[in-house]
Amino acid sequence: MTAMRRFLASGWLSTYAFLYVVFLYLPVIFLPIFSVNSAATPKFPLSGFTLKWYEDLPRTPALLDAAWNSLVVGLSASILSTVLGILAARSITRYRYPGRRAINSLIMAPLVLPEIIVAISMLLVILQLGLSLSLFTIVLGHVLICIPYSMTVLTAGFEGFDRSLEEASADLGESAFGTFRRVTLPMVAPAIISSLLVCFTISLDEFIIAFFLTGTEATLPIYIWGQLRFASKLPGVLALGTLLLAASFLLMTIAEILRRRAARRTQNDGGLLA
Amino acid sequence: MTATAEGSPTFGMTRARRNALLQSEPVQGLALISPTFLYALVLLVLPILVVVAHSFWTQNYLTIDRTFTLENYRVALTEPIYRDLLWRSLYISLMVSFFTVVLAYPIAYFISFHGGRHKSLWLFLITIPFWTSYLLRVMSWKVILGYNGVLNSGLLGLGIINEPSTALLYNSSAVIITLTHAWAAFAILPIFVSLEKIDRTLVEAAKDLGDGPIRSFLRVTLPLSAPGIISAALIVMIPTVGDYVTPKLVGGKDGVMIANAIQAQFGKASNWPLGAALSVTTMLIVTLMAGATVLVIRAAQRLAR
Amino acid sequence: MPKPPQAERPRQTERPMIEIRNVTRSYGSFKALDDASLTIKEGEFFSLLGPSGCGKTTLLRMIAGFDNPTSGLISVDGQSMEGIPANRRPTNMVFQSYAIFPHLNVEQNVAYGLKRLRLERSEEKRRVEEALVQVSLTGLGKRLATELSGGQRQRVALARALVMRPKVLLLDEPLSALDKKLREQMQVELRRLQQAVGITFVLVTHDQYEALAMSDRIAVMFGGRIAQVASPKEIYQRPVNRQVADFLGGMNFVKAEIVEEDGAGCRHAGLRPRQDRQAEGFRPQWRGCDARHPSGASARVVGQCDGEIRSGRQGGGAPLLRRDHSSDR
Repeated sequence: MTAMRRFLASGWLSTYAFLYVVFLYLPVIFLPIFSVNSAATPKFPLSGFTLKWYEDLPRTPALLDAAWNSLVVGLSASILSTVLGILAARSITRYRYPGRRAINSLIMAPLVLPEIIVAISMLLVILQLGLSLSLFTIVLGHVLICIPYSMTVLTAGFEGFDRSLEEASADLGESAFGTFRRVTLPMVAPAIISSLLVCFTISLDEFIIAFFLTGTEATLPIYIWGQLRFASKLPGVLALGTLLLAASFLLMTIAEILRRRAARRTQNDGGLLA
Repeated sequence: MTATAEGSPTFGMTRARRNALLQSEPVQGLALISPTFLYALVLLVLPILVVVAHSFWTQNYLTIDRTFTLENYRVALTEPIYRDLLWRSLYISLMVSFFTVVLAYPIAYFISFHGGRHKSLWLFLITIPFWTSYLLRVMSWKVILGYNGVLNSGLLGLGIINEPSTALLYNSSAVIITLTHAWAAFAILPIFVSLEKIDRTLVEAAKDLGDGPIRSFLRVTLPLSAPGIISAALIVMIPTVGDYVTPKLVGGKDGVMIANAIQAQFGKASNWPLGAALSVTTMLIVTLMAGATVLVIRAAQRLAR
Repeated sequence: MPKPPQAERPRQTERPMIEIRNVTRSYGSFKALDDASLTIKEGEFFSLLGPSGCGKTTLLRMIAGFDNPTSGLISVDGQSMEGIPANRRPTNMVFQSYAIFPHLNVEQNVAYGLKRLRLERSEEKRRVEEALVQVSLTGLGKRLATELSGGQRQRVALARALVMRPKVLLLDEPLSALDKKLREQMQVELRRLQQAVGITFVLVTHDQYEALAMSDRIAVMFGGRIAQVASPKEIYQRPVNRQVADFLGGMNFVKAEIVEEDGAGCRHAGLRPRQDRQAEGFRPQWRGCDARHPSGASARVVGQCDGEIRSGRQGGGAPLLRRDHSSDR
């Protein structure tokens, strides 16, 4: 009875929610659909199933180079930003000091700045310093925009952490480093892996900063951007895009599962306090 | 025993003082955050200062003339082309944040109040498209709205239109639609969080005092979720003003935004100071607009009481 | 319960184990602990009792090494603790939240500190086993911390600390998270355990009955200061001031003059009510506060009760004094 009434009360909202999810997913769904369509232009009606656009991908050296570059940039950026994120998240959640909020807002600022501003200002400085643009400069930019996300994931993981666990470890004779290795790290490991995956995904998909800060080497989004000029290359781009979508989806799902596991672990401990 | 305790009190004290200082919360906390802080300082604050400095200089063919001038700002604010681009960027970002917030609010409300056990699943479902490449999402809109695109070919196939419409792509509406879709998840989260914070007994109290569901929503839920609405609006508005990809891919001539002009100054036109002045102007105007939005929503919140 | 080896250690002696000398801990202008001095003897079950915010936990954490005195000295077993970090102190602690490592099972939790000592595997196993026997947790070694009840978690915390064979075991409100019945059971068990292992226990609690039931001696604290240090009996019967008396519960205050005492530790005899006198305190179970007391006419209390009358008849112009059955013991 109650369930029925509740459903009726939320009936309009449920319908709206359903339509909204369709609106969110529909555009994205077209990429995989047209990536297996045999016609060279994406239009209805579909002309037939084919995997040839996918088969062509590994035969494109420029694409393979871009994929490799993306992998290198993604790994470096995710590791660096997660390390910096761990330090900052730990400091924010564990210590109280003047200027804490201001520093936190500064670190989180790239989240709300237009990316183009971040990109051109870094570009200016790099050129002023006489550094040459390369994959390394892309990594620098990606780390900057990944840190806020890393911080968000990690502070959530660190926050529920019962401080007395570390005190207990020290009390039992363990050194500060030993405590970090034997207690803190295992406890927050899921959050750290989750942060790595999130940052890797962002770096893998990021275009603007890579576009401005790259030298001659392209990452996958830059490669795609270049291909968009040629209408004939579109199906191949759709196939590549579908693969990227799948990769992002997979990485984010794993990250989400790990994040929840981390939350459950720390919550369990806190829950027993009450 | 007494001897050990009193053996070297003065030495002990100073060492303890130093230890206490090194072990004090502020010092340890600041030490821990300093690498990240310095990174942000060197790669964000310093570069922005350099941009601000450039905006007061002049491009002299290949070199930069470092005498102070406001000429760049005069150009940025009075040249019709840049003025139009700025206005259009502001208009587009304002429309996009309005639509995303209006569309996102019911979803956030639905998840928060009717999500039941599946709250986190809903949130995950809604945020996942956001994590896919921005470039690809914009690209898929191009595929949908194009002359030979999904929408046109679909409508043709259904016999609703006779020839493909050119009105869909390459205008500012296309930019607004695409950006609204791209930023949807970003608007839902802050609203959801603020709705979650609302004490459910407050809503019940309002109903108990005689308010119907709509009145209690307007008088209690909506005003209390204003902080979420504000941050949702800002988190969408600020980045979209400077969006580059969407106008470039689906905007056509009609949908060009300020970011494209900024990029041109750093690229082909090679006038860094003018690009810098345009960037600084954009940031300032965005800040003003963000402040105005906050004031408007706060005023509306007061009116609702 | 097999006899643990610690039992061979000397029982309660007069030797000081912990010395607190003029210890002050201030946070800005606020003094969490104000010039506290205290000596805790070897083998003693000592309680720090007081309301929340009285500084008892601050003092305990400074003994453990999680906090440092702003001024003053703390020494354990004759050795100054100044500059010695928590992990090198001969003390171990049972945390209020128990702080059981959630990613380790019971055995791994208990063996956590032993790993640092690099014992032989068999020796380590033996000591873990022994500690689990001590706290009656045999057979639960493979359980994860998340699969334990509150009482079991507390036992793990105890075993984990005791296995290190500390000179002093510090207990921070260890029973506050347990329900009433389990709490009473654990009071008995903790006391028995302390007598079995023979080491100094320092317990922090805000529960006066807990402190009275378990301790050899109690320090009552208020507002960062130590008000009284004495045996439970003495504190109960001869509180140094009204605050202590009140905190111990169930006391009557009568503005009266004692004209005569019976000398047996009771202060019930010979009262003459006088409004200008400081109030005298009476425990409700001291039947001397009754008009029918054998010592005669002068025992009749016709005074004004300072405290609220919780129970008893009120009539005949002579208010009966508060009688609190729960504190009878």
